Amino acid sequence: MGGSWFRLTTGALACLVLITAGLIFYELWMGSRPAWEQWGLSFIWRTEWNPVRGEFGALPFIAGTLLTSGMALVIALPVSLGIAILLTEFAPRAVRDPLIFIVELLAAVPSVVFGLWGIFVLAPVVQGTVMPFIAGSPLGYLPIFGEPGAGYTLLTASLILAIMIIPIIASLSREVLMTVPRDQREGALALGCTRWEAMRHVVLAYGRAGIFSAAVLGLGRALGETMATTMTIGNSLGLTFDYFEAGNSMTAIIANELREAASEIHVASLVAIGLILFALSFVLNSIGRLIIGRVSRGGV
Amino acid sequence: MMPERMQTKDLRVYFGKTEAVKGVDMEIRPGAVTAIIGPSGCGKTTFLRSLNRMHDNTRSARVTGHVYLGDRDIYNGGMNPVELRIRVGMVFQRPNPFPTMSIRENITFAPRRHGMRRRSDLQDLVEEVLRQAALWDEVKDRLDDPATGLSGGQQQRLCIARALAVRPKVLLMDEPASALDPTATQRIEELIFDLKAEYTIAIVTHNMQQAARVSDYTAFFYMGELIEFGETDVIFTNPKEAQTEAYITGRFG
Ligand SMILES: Nc1ncnc2c1ncn2[C@@H]1O[C@H](COP(=O)(O)OP(=O)(O)O)[C@@H](O)[C@H]1O
Ligand SMILES: [Mg+2]
Repeated sequence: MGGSWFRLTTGALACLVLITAGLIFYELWMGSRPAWEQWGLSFIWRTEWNPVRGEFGALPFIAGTLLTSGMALVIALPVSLGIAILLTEFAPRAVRDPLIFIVELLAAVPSVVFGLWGIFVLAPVVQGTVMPFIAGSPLGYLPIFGEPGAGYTLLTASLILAIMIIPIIASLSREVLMTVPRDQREGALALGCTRWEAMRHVVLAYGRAGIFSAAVLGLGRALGETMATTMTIGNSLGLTFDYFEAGNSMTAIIANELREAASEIHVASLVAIGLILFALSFVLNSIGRLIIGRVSRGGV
Repeated sequence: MMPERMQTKDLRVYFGKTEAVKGVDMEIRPGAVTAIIGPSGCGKTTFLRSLNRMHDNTRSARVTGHVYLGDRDIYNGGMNPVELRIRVGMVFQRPNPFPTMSIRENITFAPRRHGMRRRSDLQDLVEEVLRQAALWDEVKDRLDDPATGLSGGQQQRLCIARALAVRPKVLLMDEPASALDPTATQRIEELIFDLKAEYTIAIVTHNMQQAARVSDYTAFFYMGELIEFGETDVIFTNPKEAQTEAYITGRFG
């Protein structure tokens, strides 16, 4: 009796979520139809964005979002794992508790504050120190780094995003590591492994699906982040793959232009970018689920 | 390979303020099976885990006194925990194979970390320890399958094989068959019997028939103290202490 009510209620709520997602998709689709009617799927890879001439294409923004979120994840994942490992295994109480506090504090900071910090602190540092350093190091030969210029760049936005998703990935990973059964870790220690070996080869391996999902959640957060990105990415309109240049993102272009968009096709193009972002998040989450399902045979 | 002797002198283990092992002097003889029996909560596990310094990783735990492996005092500068645990292996109460590794990898994992690299050596080792653990015939055709595909009893024998693969002198077993069915239990007991020629074995059990079947010496613990230690036949037929007699005749526990 009670069980069937519970199932009915949760079933209804699940349907509600699906219906909501469907409605959002429908609204975005209707709102963006003029853009799709004009350019079809090529809207996705068109690179020109010129409201005056009525030319619109999504690629610079898709690229900007993927480049910044991807780089943010590349930076944030090892740092977050390091923090999580330190917190679960190595840090003495005196270090652990303050560190947990800081990580949780960072997670609660509003993104506009990160944006401000990006403008006043990070952008000058990126311009004065980080870019010259990278350019002078072997990394500078990578084609993703061009000539250092002003401080509002894809790199700046990536760094801000990395800092924003570190608390999420770190605290989720820590929870994952803490749920790994004690006898797994002790099993490795009892074989004469060091604590580090037990962590790296047994505990992390056991929790890999959970860590992967933490990374996916972090990436999702980075993809959707708007305020901090808009404030630091430089908001240029051209396509670039150079982290030392100003770029743009799907969220930033919508936030910047939707209010002032005058023509119907301009609005439709912005909504179309919203739709692509929605689809991208959906695909990302699905891939995440799929891979988690596949690797979780063993561990968490 | 010579099995080694272990000995404790005034061994005490505290969790915070409570004393779980209260000054135990005991010998674990080489090349024999020593059973540790006693009612639940009397400190058997705590005692066993102090023999390979497993308490090092429990924040609240504190160990005092002496534990000797051969003539080296393992707590007082005689040996670091990694070195110790290579010599003193442990099998846990619940089978704990590493689920992300295959049967083969479960065995080769620790030896590789300790520097064994040659494929052929590792291959030989896998076969050798799986034979020792009486598991080879059952798994030889699926060494690269996940270890979690094995039955509980097979998993526990895999864990024994895994422990043997680092070539310990002493093997500690904490109720290794308590999670297993009677057939699997019997296999583990036969295995212990076969292993004692080469290893010093200490086995915790709350099953007195098991202690009587597999062990040469028996130690009876009660409330953190070693009440009586002696040859298994003597302990079970003619115990000196009234508490021991009460326990083995099932009057408490
Ligand atoms: N990690 C721990 N923290 C606090 N107390 C513990 C811990 N482990 C064991 N104890 C206590 O030590 C005593 C002995 O436990 P244990 O050695 O597990 O007994 P046995 O294995 O004989 O059943 C018990 O009172 C138990 O509550
Ligand atoms: Mg116990």
